[in-house]
Amino acid sequence: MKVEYISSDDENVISLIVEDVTAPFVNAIRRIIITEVPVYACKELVVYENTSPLFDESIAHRVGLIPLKTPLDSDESSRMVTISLEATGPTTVYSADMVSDDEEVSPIDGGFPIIKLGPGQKLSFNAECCVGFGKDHARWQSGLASYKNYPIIKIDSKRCNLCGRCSTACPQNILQMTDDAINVVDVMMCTFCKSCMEACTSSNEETLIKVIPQDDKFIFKVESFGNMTAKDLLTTALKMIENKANSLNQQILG
Amino acid sequence: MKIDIISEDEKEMELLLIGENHTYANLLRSYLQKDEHVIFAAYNVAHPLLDHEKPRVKIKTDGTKTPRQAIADANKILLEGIESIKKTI
Repeated sequence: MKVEYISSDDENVISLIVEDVTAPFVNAIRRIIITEVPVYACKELVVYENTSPLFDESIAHRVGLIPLKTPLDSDESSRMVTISLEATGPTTVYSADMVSDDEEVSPIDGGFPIIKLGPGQKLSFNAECCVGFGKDHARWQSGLASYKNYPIIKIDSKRCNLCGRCSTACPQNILQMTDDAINVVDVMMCTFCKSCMEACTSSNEETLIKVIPQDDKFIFKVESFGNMTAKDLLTTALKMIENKANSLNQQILG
Repeated sequence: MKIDIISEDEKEMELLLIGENHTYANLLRSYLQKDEHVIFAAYNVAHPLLDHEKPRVKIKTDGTKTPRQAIADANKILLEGIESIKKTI
């Protein structure tokens, strides 16, 4: 198996080109990332005072969806963390106003607005946060992961008459016309829309340009919500598959 | 993960992967099918609600290795793949 790492400036995004694997392998990593990586999120909200225009439930929902920084070694048995808030209007309450009793578990950003309070309105609650899994509720989802086959764009340059129709048809602008050939600028951007093939066939002849998905090569992208970096997210997911395989091995051979 | 073996002999094995879902069952199936000594490998989730955490895996081999050995070999290739991604990142 060959793996190529594509660096990015954002630590919450990671891209890989994985060669010589089957789709179920990349799909397993994808499914683990979106459903089974343990992260912290608010599970229950104890509201002491709420004279704001929003119902308790609506506020609970908004607080629940704020991603929390999660230490790497967290699992189901990790302790409950309480995040509390007390605010009096007139003001806009942001996630930065919430105080956590554990520095390692806190909102990833202070800029999430929770509610606008009018003059004299009050809000105070304790949010009880615990570790959970994306398969139970979206608030415990740690990120997004996706993959697509690596595209191969084949151009029959001997028979191509350089009409340029494919180049104008491509919505991603990855086919560039030069004086004597059509060049593919960035293959990774191809979405398999096949607009170029359609543009080429409009003359009722055989297509001279072909877009083929490569069966055993994938572009895999992980985007973390910020609970942990994308690299940590991927490592955690890989470790989980490893544990599954090892545990089955033990029982099968032991 | 716990396993529940339904039937087993030298060439054939049927087992339940308790606590797992399509994620691992499909992965295991794909690696088993790559093995030239395995003549049949498939999994099935009998009912999406009642059996959603116990996919049933069936393996038949040509007799050169036991189904248990086939699963161990499949896991070995899988672990090598994971190791190579870990090295890159």
